[in-house]
Amino acid sequence: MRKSVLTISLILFLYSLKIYSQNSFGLNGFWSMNKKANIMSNSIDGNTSNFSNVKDWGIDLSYGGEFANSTTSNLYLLSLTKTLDRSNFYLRYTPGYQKDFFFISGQSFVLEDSSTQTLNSKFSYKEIFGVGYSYQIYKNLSIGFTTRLFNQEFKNEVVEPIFSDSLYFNLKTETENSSFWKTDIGINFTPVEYLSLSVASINLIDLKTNKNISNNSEYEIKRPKGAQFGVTISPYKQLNLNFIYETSNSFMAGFNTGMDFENASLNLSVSALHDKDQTPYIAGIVPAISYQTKVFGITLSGVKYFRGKNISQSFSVFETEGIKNILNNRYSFDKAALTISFRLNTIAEEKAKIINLKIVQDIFPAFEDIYLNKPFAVGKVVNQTDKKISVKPSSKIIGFNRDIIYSPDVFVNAHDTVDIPFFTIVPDSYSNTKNTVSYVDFYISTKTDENDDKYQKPILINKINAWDGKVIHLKEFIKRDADYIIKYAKEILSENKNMLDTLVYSLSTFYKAKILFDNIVKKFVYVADPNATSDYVQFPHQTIELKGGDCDDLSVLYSAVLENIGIQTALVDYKPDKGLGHVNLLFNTELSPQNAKWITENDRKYFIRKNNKGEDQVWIAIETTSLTDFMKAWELGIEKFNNEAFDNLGLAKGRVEIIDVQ
Amino acid sequence: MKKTISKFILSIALLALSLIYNGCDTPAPTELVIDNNTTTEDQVDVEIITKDIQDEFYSNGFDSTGVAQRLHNFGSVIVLTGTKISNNNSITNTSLAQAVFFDKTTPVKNMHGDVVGFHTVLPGQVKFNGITAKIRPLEIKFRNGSSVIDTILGSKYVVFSGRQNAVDPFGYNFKSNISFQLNPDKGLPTSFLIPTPEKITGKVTFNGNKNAKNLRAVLEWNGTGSQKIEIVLGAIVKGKNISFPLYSLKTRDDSKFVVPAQLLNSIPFERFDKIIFTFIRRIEFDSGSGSNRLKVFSQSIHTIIINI
Repeated sequence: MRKSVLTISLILFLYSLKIYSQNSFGLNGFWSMNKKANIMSNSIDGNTSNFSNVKDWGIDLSYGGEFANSTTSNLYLLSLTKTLDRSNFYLRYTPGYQKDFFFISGQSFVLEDSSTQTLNSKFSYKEIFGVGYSYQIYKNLSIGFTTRLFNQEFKNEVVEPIFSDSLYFNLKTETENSSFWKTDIGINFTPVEYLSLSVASINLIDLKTNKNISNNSEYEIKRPKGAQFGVTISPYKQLNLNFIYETSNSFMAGFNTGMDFENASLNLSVSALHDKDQTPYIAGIVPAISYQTKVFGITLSGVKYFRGKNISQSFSVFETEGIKNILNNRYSFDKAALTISFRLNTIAEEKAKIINLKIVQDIFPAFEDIYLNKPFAVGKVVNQTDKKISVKPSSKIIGFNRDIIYSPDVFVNAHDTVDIPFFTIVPDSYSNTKNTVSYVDFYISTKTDENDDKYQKPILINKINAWDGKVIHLKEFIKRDADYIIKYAKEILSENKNMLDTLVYSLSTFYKAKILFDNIVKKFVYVADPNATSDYVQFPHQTIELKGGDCDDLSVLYSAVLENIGIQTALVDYKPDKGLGHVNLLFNTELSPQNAKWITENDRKYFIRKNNKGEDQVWIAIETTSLTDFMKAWELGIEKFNNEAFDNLGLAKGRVEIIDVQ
Repeated sequence: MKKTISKFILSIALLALSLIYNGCDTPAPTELVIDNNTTTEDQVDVEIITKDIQDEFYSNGFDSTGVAQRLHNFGSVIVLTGTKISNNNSITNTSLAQAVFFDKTTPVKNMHGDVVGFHTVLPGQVKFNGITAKIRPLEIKFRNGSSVIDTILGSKYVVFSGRQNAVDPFGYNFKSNISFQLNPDKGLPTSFLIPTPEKITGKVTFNGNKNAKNLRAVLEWNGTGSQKIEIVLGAIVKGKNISFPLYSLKTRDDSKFVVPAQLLNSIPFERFDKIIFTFIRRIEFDSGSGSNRLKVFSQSIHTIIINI
């Protein structure tokens, strides 16, 4: 509704204005001034503000023919454009922007030999080159200027009387020429996606650099000051309706449409021009068809005038009206142009952009595997293109990661916004024992070697022994020091080899666990919670070396010892109502329920759990903080477990949780 | 890889450019045709009248009688002229009718064998508007080697009025007719009416400066829009009353003409201090046939002499 009202209002507004003449004609066709336009237009004809869609470098050349009595071919235009950050620079050389007139003077002279000499004159108007600059103030607002150098040359044959002894005529050519710079400014504004507006001056600054005109001043290019207004409406994605008019008497109206392929597009533009200096009312039509890829484009365009092709015109009209435009005037012939465009992108196009980024967890260096499966940060990324793209996220925590860590690619639909996870890897060598605050550089790219966007955020890197208090994360500590622990366990078991060899095989697991526990506690000097905080856990080798620890440390150590010789363990998380919780350990004796009597007659000292093959097996609880012996630790452990897990319905209520280490 | 592609594209661009640039023509010109509405570019035929401006011989006949009409170029000729001469504030009007009958069998030649005229004959009595013409000698001067010869080719018929010594009651009536009557000594009399053109009255406006060589003369007159008029641009030698008709300019009788600047500014004003513009509106036709064939000129002349 809003769109319709706006469109109708705009049309009424334009209709209410007087329509004046044509100055904004461009050989490459009339394309919309819109960043999302189907074609990358690269011309300053009718584009005073030097609006450009070129991402980096652009080279264009237009070659074509003019269809007078005979067809002539010209290099109309060679241009170079460069976009640098928000600025666009444009330079063009226009050898084909030239209009010549010749006429035979009404004067005839009888020369000395009685022959009659008529006089010829030739007027040439040229645009030599032009430069443009534009600056993108906001994404939808740009301002710029263009300046163009013109040259006019008037050659007149004259007969000069010579007074000497006798009077005679001497034929010679008198040449006058002048140059001037024409500079204009313009603004392009896209308030909403389907509407683009432009306004620009016409002949705002007219600077003469070389004026050597006395007799032919009335034939100079007429340069009335004025303004031009342009509008592009895009009712559909592939349709642009364009209108531009000038206060110096004309308008141009047309449409662009196109089809997009995977890496290319085929575009069509048709526009009609009205010029008060030309007849009929619609003086001509400017069709253009263009095929564009990312690096190459070819455009076939032209102008067909509806007036008759008459190479002879009235001098009196010319001397009265003159010309205002070199390329498009009442004397212009039909033209065709082939424009070849090259786009050299040495900088990456920002296809994706990080609009927000959240660190979802601080770094606990001990939790190595967690960061491989669970992102430490999530970025909100928008696809700025109209195509589905694959975004590759990566990050580097400064002072932590040695290399950039790449996370899995994520596909993002056109103009869609998604959350993209960032994963990291904890380096093996990390051993910092203090918490530090560092920064993370986040990158996203849509190509292999170019980053589309970069984002930096601070992050807390905890000390190496830091723990977040979640019992499940104790598994990360259990996994550490495997080689050390295996060697440690094997040494103990080898010392008890004789005893173990006498046991039935089914009891070996239970007794291995018992021997190991008794040996560990035997060597321990009890240290009452040396680091009694909830955010610190000793690695197994540290507990052995320190010969003590709290329940976390001892559970971690005993679990590590058992796991490393192949005994299944599980951590029991006793969650407190408030304050510190408690952890002890279950291990699988690998005894079947029928054989439980081999270790105890008391069926409350064990309970039945399925092993990882789904078989019922006998598990017993060990209170690792009991540093007396295995049997005592078992007794205390199972008592605590039975009490909390079953009697107080801890398992049912979720206050007790069994966490398998493997 | 990207650099390689960029170099490749750049090479193609440069190659295409060089091929295209070498195949270029100049854009097709538009031919402009001078038409009747043209204001800055008058149609004019320019001819030098006096080639030897050192020789006073060529100054003769300028002021009143058809200037460069080389009478002997025609078989027999009748010239009727109504002249107005504006010199500063003085205006002189004269009327002249003359008839000359050449004997083409008796040419007069100079030492180089060039024909400078023919002897004349007097076939009988001539009357203009019923006024009997007086018989006067037809004198000419011509250069013969290093000397100037004065000679009389014979006689001519003349009716003249307008100056102090002109007593013939003859007036050149403009836009009218003048009767011509020949009563031959032998044969039947011949008579016919000679039409006269509308009187021409000119005006000359100067701007610019002769020293700056940007002198511009705009000539205006009572144009009739038909046929052409002749304007003779001449000059008078400084300190002497010797005039040289320099150029004959034939242009449309459309009331205005801007003298081509180079004609005016090339005049050596150190030698000439007056410029003469002579406007001539002329009717000419042939009458009779064979040996009786007459060339008839009837012309209105306005001569303006300007101190420059």
